[in-house]
Amino acid sequence: MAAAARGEPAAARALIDGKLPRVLALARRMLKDSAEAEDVAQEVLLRTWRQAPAWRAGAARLDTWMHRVALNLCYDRLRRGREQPTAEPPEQIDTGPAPDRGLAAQDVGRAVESALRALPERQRTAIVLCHYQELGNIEAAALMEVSVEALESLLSRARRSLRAALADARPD
Amino acid sequence: MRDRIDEAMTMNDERLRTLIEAYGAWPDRWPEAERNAALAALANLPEADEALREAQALDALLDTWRLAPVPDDLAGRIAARAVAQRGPNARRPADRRPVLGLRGRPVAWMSSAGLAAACAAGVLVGVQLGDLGAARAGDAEAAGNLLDGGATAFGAPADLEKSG
Repeated sequence: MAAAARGEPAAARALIDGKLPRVLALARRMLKDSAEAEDVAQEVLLRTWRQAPAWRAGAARLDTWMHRVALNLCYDRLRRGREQPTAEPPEQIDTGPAPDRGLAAQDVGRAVESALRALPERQRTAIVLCHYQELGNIEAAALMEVSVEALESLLSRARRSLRAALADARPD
Repeated sequence: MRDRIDEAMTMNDERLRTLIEAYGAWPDRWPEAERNAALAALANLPEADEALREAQALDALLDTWRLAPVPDDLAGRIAARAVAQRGPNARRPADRRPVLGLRGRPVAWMSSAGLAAACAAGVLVGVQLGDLGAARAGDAEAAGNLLDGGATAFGAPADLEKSG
């Protein structure tokens, strides 16, 4: 952190290499457009870098702060309507070599993505934060500015909807 | 006393079901403060097995949504911008805003539009102040400084970034 605060290039690269996958994953799951997600991830990391001199030990966790910035940027984009639903296949499915996953698994993955994108925004956010980003309930609730009880209600409703939407989908 | 214990167990069972329905079947995803108690309740509640199986099936489905790897050059591009903004050889604030986004589109539209307007204003001033002769090459730099002042007038850099 001290090196980052001094603006050392190696620290910038270390910060970005360490945090980019997680921030980009959040943005990709919140936004349909992968280029928009990359824009969000870039902005989060640049803001983090610019704030590095002001970082204080014992203050809010960096990961939480970055999630908050990323979520706000995603909400901005979603509400500006720049995210338009399309009939095109999602760009974020891993099509690389994966001997343990066949085409059927990819189809299931696409069905899951579609079902998640069809959820109300708050329910989808709750699933993304708790299931995919693996945040704790208190942290996720704080990020969403709801009580833990409200978070659990969002999660339960989301999972019920997903179970119904994916009743016919099963991985091989 | 026995009734109170039974009530506590019943409530705990309900809470267990709530945890499974909300967080899924993986105990690692359950709230840390309740995890051990939930695991203990699970061992004594075979009726929860069905809820657990349903949750496991949904967890497995959710895990099939895999993301593509991070593009190879993305970290490098972001690092280059980061160092340009705040590194040993960082450029002046007026120069630091990225003009083009990742896909080559304008990110800070004020930069290009404002620069054009400021350049035009500089030319006009240069023409009107005949004593100073034609617009000098330095006007472009002056225009850039004006632009930076104009951007500040719209809000602090952080505020501008929020809208981007």
